[in-house]
Amino acid sequence: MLMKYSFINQSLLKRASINFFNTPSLASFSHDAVPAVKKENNDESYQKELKVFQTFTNVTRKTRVKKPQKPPFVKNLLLSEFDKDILSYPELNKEDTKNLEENAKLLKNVMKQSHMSSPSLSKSLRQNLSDYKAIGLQAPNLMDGLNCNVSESCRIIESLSENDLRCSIFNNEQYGVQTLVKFADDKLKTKYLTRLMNGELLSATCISEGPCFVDTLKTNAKLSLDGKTWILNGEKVFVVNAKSADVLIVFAVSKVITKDVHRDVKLTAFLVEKNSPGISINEIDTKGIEMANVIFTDTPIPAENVIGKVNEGQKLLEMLITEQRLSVSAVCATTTRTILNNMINEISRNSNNVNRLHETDNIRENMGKMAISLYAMESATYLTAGLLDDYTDQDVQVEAIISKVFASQVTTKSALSALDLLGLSTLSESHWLHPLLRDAQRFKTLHEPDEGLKIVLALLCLEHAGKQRNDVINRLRNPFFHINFNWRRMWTQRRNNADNPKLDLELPDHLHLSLEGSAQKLEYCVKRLEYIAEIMLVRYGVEVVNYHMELKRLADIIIDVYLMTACLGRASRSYCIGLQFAETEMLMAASFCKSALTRVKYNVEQINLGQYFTSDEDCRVISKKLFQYKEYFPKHPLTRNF
Amino acid sequence: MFLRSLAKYGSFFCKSQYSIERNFIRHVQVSQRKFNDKSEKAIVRKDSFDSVSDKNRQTYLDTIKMFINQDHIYRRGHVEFIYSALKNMEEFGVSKDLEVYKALIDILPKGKFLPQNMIQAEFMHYPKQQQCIIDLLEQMEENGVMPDIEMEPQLLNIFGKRGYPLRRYWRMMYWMPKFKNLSPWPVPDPFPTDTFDLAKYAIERITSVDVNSVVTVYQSSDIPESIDDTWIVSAQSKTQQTLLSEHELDKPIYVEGPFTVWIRGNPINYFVLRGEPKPLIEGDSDPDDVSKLRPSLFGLRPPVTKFLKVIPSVHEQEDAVIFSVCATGTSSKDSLLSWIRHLEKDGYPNLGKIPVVFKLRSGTKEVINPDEGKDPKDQLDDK
Repeated sequence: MLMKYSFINQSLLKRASINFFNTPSLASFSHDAVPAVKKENNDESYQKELKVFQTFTNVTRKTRVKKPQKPPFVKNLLLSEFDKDILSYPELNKEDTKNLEENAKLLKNVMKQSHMSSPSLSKSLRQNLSDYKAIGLQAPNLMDGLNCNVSESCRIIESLSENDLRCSIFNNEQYGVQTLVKFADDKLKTKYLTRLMNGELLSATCISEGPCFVDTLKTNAKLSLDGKTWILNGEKVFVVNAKSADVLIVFAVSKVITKDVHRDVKLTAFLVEKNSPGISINEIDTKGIEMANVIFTDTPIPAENVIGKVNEGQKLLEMLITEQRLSVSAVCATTTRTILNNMINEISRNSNNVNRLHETDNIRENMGKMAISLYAMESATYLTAGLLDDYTDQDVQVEAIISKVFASQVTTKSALSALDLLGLSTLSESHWLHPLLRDAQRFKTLHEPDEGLKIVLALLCLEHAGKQRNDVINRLRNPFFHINFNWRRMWTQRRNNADNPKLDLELPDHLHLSLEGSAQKLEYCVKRLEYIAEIMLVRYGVEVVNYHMELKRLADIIIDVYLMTACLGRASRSYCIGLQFAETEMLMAASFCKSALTRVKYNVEQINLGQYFTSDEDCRVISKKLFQYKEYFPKHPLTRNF
Repeated sequence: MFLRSLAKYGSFFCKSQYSIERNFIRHVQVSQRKFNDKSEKAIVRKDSFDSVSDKNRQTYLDTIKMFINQDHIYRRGHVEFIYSALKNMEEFGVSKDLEVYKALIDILPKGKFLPQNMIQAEFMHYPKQQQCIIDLLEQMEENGVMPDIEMEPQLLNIFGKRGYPLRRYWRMMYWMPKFKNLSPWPVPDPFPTDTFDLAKYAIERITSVDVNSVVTVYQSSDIPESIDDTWIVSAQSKTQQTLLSEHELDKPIYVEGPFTVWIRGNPINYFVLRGEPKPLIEGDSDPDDVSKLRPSLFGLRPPVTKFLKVIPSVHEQEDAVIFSVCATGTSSKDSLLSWIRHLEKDGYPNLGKIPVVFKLRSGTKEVINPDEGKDPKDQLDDK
């Protein structure tokens, strides 16, 4: 990351210096995107040069030193290796935090203002955003960006999400602009990124093609014979912002590798101008967000519009998607916070002397749970962001998925429990809850449904564990060949089998003393996680990929363990440095651990019981029948046979 | 050594065991009564049913009414009458009509056959009458007619609560409702009389092996060269579509048939479009090696294992790859040709370039026997 930054900065510095010292050569540098400087108007050009120079001199390059890479945290939990450094919650330095807070507060107020509400992400709105440098958060200062790191950009996205257009803003920022910031070459950057950042253009990113794997994507691009243009064909579905976007970022298959019967594809990212020929757009009827299907028929793309390298789109997508998932949880945090705050207002408004609603147990339960979940969600988001910021090339695939899945679940749950608690008043379409509910639903489904992600998450962890423990698993799966080993295992594993693992990770030593009980709960869960992951691998072997019900349970355990870690770390830090409300934070963290422990215990038990003692196998049989008869088959309860 | 080979080939043993079971000849239970000559049971009255010229349900019920009115007090020869009525049911087309059976039972007098003491109750009071009604119930069962609740008081009033017909009735009422809905492919109710509907149903039943099968109805008259004007019920699933489109152009495909499928006593002929079987690719993946799970990072769809070998679909059998199934109104070669033309129009432009071989058999009488070489009759004789 650091490398990339310095590279970009250097290249821009070079350009800035050329511009400054060598005025006549400016024209040769100016693309059509940058208004060409008229030579006769020397004064104006001079002013412009001066401005460039000023920006150049005002740039204070943040020096961010990253620590060396750590082994992946969550993946290692399955091997019962707990990195205790993670328990000390990450923080930004003092100056950065101060700037960030100011920025975030300002943006939050701006986003709430009435002139910022509009049915779609219009040009004026974008330009307003751009005035506050709120587009292209991670772009370097030289390009007039804020040069945020991941934590900072998450914080700012939180503020931006105060607006009802949070999905559109987010998609533009995290997919479109981010792709260009990170992967585009300088030419594309000057041509498009600057205009995206000043709000002139809007981007839409086309990835999905409906329910299919990456290797079955169909949209393809072929290089023309002269090697100057790519020809794009195919259809992308549910593209956010597609209608008003000016540039599309398309991930298309540029190479197909077939080996025997297997098909593997190489993706390439393209930047397509929407006014290019052969693009047609079918709008999808949605509320509060623009979505459309985009069809490409023989759309020509100039070869220089390839983002990154040809055939490396998948790598690019992988890098992009981790941060994108993480920032979804930042958006979710704001949404949930808005729901919670609005509920507090509405409930206290409805309470009076006779009917003291806010003191009823039911409301207290729901509000308390919501607050705890929100607390956990925030903790996980910024812990993950901190990991990305603090360590070089840190592998946070799993952590990002956990943050996203948990956040979107909590948001949906909060929105639904708000429906329950507020009751009748939510029936009106104009109620404040409805846009939030719709958005919650979008966080859950857009591009990657949560259930699917959970399976991916469990598999990523199991893959890691499988690599490390392959030998042991192999011996356990073939007990007749390794009799001694298996006998010995029965002795060494006796405490695990009796659900009484030895807690030897010394986690309480790394947290505040009063969190000892919770830390022990976390330790117990980590031990059980290792135990059950091994059981799954031993029981199913390679086939484990197909046992989605078990995988989802494992994912739930992993999610709980990571969130416990995040909550405990955050609460402990707050308490130790004496933040306001820190003692309640301790309570929240401890409470989360309590409930997580029961969930983990339950899930471990279910996996341990196996598919024939839980309802898994029954579900398979019933579902098979459903598809066989193509409908819900049982007879009506009133049916008579004779 | 034994353990080692058991561990290695254990699953193979299980598999072969299973396949033996599958190919094993199924035992057919044949009851003794099949071989009894029913004509010995009673003297058959000649006149009453034979003399009816117009044979239908109404005349059948009239004959019963006439019998009752003829000898109102004694009703002589009612057992013989019931036997002859049972025998003539098929001709009158009432063998599946519950009301008719109830009318026959109603011939018997109420109260007369009730046992008066324990001994009578235990030793089958009025055995001939009881046996007659038992035979009637048996015939009902064979014809798949389920008694209803009203029959219970009827039998109770005639033979009392210890009567054997009533016990048989109870047994029937226990089992028959259970068997009634056991078939995985229940025939439609009401049962279609049109051959087209039957053929459609038959094709649907055949193709239910793949839940994605779609049944299409073509008209052969839509093809200009066609001579016949008839319907073609064709079925294909998405998998079969892919298989057909992947078929190599120089290899022939075959139209085979007719084969027969029976739908409640009605034979329906169907034809199969098949290609040469695909060679099985045997992969040598190690199910214990968990070091290379390689999941995708994208959760667009829940992942499934990628095997080194492709698991063949249900349409890729050992002896053939089945592309489609159809039934036509005339079962003629011409209608089958129209079928191929329709498939060609429906998204397989290459079908015209593939040589299509018609392997049609004229004799449609024989039912396909999984156990080749042995005649089904021989098997029965063996036992």
